[in-house]
Amino acid sequence: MDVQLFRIDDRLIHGQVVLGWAKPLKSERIILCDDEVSESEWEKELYCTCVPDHLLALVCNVDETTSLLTKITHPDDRTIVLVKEPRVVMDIVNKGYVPGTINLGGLHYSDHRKKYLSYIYLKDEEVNQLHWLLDKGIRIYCQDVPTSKAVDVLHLINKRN
Amino acid sequence: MKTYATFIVTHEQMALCLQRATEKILGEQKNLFPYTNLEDSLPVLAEKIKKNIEEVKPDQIVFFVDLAGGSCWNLANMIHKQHHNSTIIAGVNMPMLISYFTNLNEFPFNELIEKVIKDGSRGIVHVEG
Repeated sequence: MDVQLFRIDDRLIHGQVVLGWAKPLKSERIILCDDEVSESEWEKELYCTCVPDHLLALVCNVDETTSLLTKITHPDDRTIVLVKEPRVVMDIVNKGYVPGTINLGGLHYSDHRKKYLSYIYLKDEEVNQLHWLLDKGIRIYCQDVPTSKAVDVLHLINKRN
Repeated sequence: MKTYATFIVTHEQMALCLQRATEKILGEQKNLFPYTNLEDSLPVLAEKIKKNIEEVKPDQIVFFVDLAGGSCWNLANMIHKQHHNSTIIAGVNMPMLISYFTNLNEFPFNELIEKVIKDGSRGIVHVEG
């Protein structure tokens, strides 16, 4: 079963997610899936401290996230899943949960990343990872906030390469 | 006199505009660095900020960020963890920046920060309709 929003965003929990998406979607739960963050008490606290009380924030590693996601049976589930890069989605897929749709919400500039949109920069390796996910039948679209225009990732990748 | 490195980190061009607006009133300020989170990833921004810190070698580092819980806030906290001589104030506005630069080196550091926060709040004024 799909979650409300399965988002790749290198900033993980921040304003765009907590205010921009969670509010209109009336979300109840945010799962931050990251092996490193889940190992660090300090980082967990940093990400969760400013989450409003009506939202349950969980920080899980890939195994825990996959297990939680495979247990979702309600078609109107109010969960947002956040991962920092496409690689993490591949790990989740390899563990047995395949999301129907992925929101590419923010991958910002760093070395070897090329610009696709103001909020999407990708390494060649990440483009390949997105292709891998698309080949699994997953739909991927870029959109930073709900009011902005959604852009199909395939269109974006093909246009540039 | 203590050396300060001051960072304004915000969404969009707000940091740069706050710097310009403050300097329009008080004149140019030393070691003030505005950053936007618009396109750079947080590790890239962190590197730029660390470079500024290495260059200035400040006694105190002050971060002004726009929104607690946002990515600028997260970034400032990550740097704060490695630099114990740093402090973070969220909810940056013009009155607090003016208070800060006017009173820099006039007060012991803790009192300065207390004053800046107080003046930032005092600067929010309501005229009833």
